[in-house]
Amino acid sequence: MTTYLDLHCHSVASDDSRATVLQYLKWINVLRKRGFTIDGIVLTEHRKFDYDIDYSQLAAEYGVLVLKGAELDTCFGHMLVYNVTKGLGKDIDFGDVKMDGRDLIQAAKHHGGIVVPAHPGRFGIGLVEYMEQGVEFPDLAIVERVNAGSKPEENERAETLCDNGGYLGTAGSDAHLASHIGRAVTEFKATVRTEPELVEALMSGEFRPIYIEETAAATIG
Amino acid sequence: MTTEYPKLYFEDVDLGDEIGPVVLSVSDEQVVDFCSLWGNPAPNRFTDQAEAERVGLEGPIVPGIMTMALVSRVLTDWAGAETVADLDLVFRGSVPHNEPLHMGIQISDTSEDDTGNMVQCDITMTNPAADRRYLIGTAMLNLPSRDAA
Repeated sequence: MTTYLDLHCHSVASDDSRATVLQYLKWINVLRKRGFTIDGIVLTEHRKFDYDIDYSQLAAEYGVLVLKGAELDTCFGHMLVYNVTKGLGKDIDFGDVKMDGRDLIQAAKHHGGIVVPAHPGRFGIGLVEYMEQGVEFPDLAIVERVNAGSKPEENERAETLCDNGGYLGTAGSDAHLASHIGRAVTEFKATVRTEPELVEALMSGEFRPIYIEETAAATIG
Repeated sequence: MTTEYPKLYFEDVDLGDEIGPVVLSVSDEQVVDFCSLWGNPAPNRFTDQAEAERVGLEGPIVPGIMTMALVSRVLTDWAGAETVADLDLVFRGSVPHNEPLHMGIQISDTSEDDTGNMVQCDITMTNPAADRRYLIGTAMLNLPSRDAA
């Protein structure tokens, strides 16, 4: 069964967001009424991870899957981390904005997670800048190809990176407002219900980045 | 520049509703007038090319509090005076003079509680192509109810 997930969004737990998780879930039902398909979101708060917070009751009430990840600052730009474990939290200081992104990639892999560089085409701070300086990321296979909060030319740089470098690409809204959730989603061929299943689905390579408008066809079909 | 709207009640709005489109523009003269009233007379980085470049800007920009005032006026034009309970804007870029400023306003939440009939709006301000985002944020409005009218 196909699963549509927004892999990048921020709730008020991130200092620059103005949307609560509840508001995101309400807005997803607005999108569904408009004919779009979105099954869930992955909260990727800046520089932190809350192991204890549980959205399962809220998720069930609104019929939206809510998974948790993180967006961490590194010396090579922002990186999305999926399937964050306490083991990873012991090995990595999430608040260290200068951490080596390559170490994070290795550590996440060691603990059963996966790292996807966010908005790699962003000028000045994206992964592409560092690759152009000759930095290599041998353990990297996936980058965020579509970021709905980026400028078109920044997403074009991410597309070029994927096409020329052979990277697989995800999509996410990078929402900081309720009405921005779901603007871009990743379409998975598999059913995804948990963070480990998300990692498995990403590792399978059976996914593609799309804008929400494309899911309308899925609803009709 | 003021748009006339009919009196708005809480029952008139719904989650997902959009206001607008609203297009603003701020002239050089308006910024000079604002700065004069504000107590920050020209020339300064808001009014003068050389002063703006001296502090690392490409050109003079619209003051943040002037932009907030403009956003607030758009909201009160639509919802009525004394309805704005909170305005929380995050500037993502400098707001330029003499350029169309496209405001997007969407109702992102509604609730009725002890504080009133609250309506949250998501707010964006961009260039016409929407590929330059000047600000994002939210406003909380307290609207009257038809039941109390």
